[in-house]
Amino acid sequence: MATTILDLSGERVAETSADSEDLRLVEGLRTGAERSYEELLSRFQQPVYTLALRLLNDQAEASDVVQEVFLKVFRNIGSFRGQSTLKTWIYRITVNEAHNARRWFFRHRGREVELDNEPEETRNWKETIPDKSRSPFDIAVDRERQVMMEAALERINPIFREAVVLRDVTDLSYEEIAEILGISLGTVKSRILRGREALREELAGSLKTRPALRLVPKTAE
Amino acid sequence: MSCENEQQLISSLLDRRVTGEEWENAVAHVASCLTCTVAYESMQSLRTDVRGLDRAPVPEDLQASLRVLASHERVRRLSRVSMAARTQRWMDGVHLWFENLMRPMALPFAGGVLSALLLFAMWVPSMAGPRNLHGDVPVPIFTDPSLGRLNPVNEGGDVVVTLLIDERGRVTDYQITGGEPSPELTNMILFSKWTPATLFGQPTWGTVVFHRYEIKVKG
Repeated sequence: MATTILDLSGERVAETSADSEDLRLVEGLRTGAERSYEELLSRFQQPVYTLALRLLNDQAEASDVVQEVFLKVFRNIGSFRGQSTLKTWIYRITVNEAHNARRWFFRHRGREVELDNEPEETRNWKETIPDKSRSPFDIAVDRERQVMMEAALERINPIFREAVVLRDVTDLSYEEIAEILGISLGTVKSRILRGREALREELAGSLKTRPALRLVPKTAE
Repeated sequence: MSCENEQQLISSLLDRRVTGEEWENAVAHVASCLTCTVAYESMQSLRTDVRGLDRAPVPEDLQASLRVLASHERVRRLSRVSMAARTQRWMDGVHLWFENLMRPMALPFAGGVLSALLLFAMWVPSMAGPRNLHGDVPVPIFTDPSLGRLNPVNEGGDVVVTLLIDERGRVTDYQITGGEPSPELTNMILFSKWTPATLFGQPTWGTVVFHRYEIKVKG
């Protein structure tokens, strides 16, 4: 096997310290140390929520999934053997819970019709202060791009979406993704590639130029 | 390297998951092929866009829910450490359940008890009669004067008299409301002995209505 481009020596040192930190955190959780519970939440609630939101594209569903994930983490921390990192373990639970939620959604709520299609936006006072650094046009373009990207992500096959989100949104390595999804490295590579291609096709489809308004000149009568 | 192979490698190339040899070949190919350059840049742009998706902050209500969840789970875990802790948690649970059950009834219950006490306190004085057992000093709020000893000379027909008795049991005034005045009646009033009225056990002035009916049998 030829050498890879990544410099793994630095990563190994970081992994070792992360492992010891994980073990300390897990031990604290097992003994009921208050600080450990706080640390777990402060470390993982944001990434877990982001992952769930990107996998489900629904705030309410993502919130439910995050609660389920942390409930399972708290209840099953005793069975965590340290064979994988704490991060990988929690992300695996998140992916599984998101998968279950998606299945449940299609079975039970697929036929429901929403009366209010707009997501509820809560604004605090800081958001009402005008931002002078960027023009409304830039913001609108960014927002539009984001909406298109989210829509495209939602349309691609969930199996490929999981791989792309874990790689590009959660910034996990291929090995970690393989561990979380329980698949081989080759399959991870393949899913990421196919996911990105599917995403590019979806975006290309939505960005196709539409026929402009055709003006037919007529002579005045 | 063919374009097809290059397209397969683009994703891994972006993630730097290729060997040194593959890297060199791919870079050389991209530099010489416009199609693959466009594909590479397109994929790179796509990856940047996906990475640049907004990280939506965790909603505040979810944060609060997670803290509550963590707190409950911590208590649950601590309670499983020993039998004493488990018993204590069970007792706390029962105590909390009882408090939650009783709290809504506390005000009506207290109001009911107070009302009952007030009504009872109002009703008690009406129970007190002029009964005086074993020679005790009567303690009800007020007792009427009573006849102690009647004058043995008791004649003069039917009569109804209202008498005013002082605190020493003496008749200070009288009014005949039925019948006719007679010397026998005057003697009866003067020589009869009365027990004075009492207020909180102390002798005081009071009035009493005296009746006397004479039964006549014709033979």
